[in-house]
Amino acid sequence: MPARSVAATVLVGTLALSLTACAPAAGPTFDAVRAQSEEAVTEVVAAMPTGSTYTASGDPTSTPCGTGSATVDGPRGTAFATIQGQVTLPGAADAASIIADLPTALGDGWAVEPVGIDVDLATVRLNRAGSGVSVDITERAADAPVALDILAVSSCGRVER
Amino acid sequence: MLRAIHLPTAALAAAAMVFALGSHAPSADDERPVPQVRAALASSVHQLTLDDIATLSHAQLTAEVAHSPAALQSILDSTAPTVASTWWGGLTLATRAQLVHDVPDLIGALDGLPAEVRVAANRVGARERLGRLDVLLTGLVTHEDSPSAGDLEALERERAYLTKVALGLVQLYLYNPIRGSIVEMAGDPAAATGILFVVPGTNASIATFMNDDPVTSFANWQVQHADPSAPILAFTVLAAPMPQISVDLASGPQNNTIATAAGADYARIVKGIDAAFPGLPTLSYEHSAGSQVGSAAEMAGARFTARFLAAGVGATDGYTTVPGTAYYATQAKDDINRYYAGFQMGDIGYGIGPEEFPGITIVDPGFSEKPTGTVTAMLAEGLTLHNRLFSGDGSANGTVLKDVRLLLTSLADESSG
Repeated sequence: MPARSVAATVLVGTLALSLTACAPAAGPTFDAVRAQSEEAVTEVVAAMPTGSTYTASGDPTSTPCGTGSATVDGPRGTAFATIQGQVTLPGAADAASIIADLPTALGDGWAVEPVGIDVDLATVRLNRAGSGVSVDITERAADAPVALDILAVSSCGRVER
Repeated sequence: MLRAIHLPTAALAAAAMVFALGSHAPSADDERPVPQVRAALASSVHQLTLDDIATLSHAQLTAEVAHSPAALQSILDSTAPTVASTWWGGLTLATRAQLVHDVPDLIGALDGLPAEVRVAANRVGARERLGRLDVLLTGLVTHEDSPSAGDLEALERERAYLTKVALGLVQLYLYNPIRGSIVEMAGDPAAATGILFVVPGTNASIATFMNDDPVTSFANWQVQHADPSAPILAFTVLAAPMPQISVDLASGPQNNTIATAAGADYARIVKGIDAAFPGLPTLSYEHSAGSQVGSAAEMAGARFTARFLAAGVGATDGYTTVPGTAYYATQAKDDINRYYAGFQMGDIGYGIGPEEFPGITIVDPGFSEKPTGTVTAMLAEGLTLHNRLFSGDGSANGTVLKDVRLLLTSLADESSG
């Protein structure tokens, strides 16, 4: 068999495998993964100092999952949730210290994920065990009074019709 | 580089596969090779200047557009973005509005003009093109030689997309199917504190902006979920036809000349946006072969505050980084890219792997990678991991999506400070 044919065969096989190796149609619903994200944000906010106030940036958004994590039918009928909000800290609070202490304050059930970008803003990325929810908490340097930006991303869920 | 040199056959075979980037559809049929198009245009160029454009009557302009579209293309190719910016600034509001209406394809593609003007012009252009598409579709349906399902599907897909443009649901910054280029904008130009460019890699085409899992999803998520204190404006850029997967090693995406040529067009687009948004920090997020587009753009004079190479091929031999630009690279441990990174023989391959850029910051993509048992499974896994780095799906590419978001926030903060 000519080398070109071998390459074509391997290529087609690889692509076919990559397309059929997607997640199964079963799995959590979008409502479930959104609720998990909301619970995670609630826990993070509860770990903030007394006197902090949380303001959501609108409702959780629903974004179609990509082809890679959707069902074999493609991204239609799937979505992940993104939740955004802001915590305004009480007057004399030190945002960097609060962020540094947050993993301890949240305790077991949360794991710290590495942040790949080294920036001047204080930040921590936390994963809530068993949920696939990842939450970024970042200092908003330009703001006065001191505030933290919160961003939570869920796993992929099925949108029930 | 050494690994690739030791296994050149494997490297080339992997290259043929890796550039598949899997998840996106093949190119639209309406994209012609750039050299062919440019040769056709050059053969019939009629001299016309921006000043002519501003002084001609509606009837004269309409006649020019109909008689010599190549003349308008010549203006686009020969006008520096800074010159276009100055020219536009000297026009009256009435003249500007008239030009948007009379020559939307020119105003919608003229680098250096304000982004919102280009979007408005392309919205007008979309309405006009929709009218032509409807005529074409009606003719095809009634023609005795029925068009193929694929042809009809492509036209219907374009019609659906341009309808969204005409309705203002999609912001089109550039649309030139003849040249195979499209740039979609997301965000509010008036509020932006930073610019994000997103450059898709192999198999990107105009059609991949129009399907169910569009190449704009990464940029759209960034705009929608930017830190409210640092809103961004994003451009997903297909500057010119990109390599399409092929088993022909001499002419497929492993041929580095295709992405290199697109780099010159990308540089021009970047310079135009720089002219429209002076002083704003810029981040270029480039996937796979898109990183050669970014590298070639730098060699053609484009400048970025930062570049982020996501499963990038890197650059061809001779490339040098730009002082003052921050470089980031991410790829999975088993990314299929790693089988050929740093291998180049003339027009085949890319001699400088992404992690070989001097001073580049290596970013962990945060994937949980599992050992695979067979070579086929390993390649399939490597391809899947490769494609995930261009996904706007937070459940598949959340670490990098959030890292890029954080970087954009930081760049805006540094810029304002």
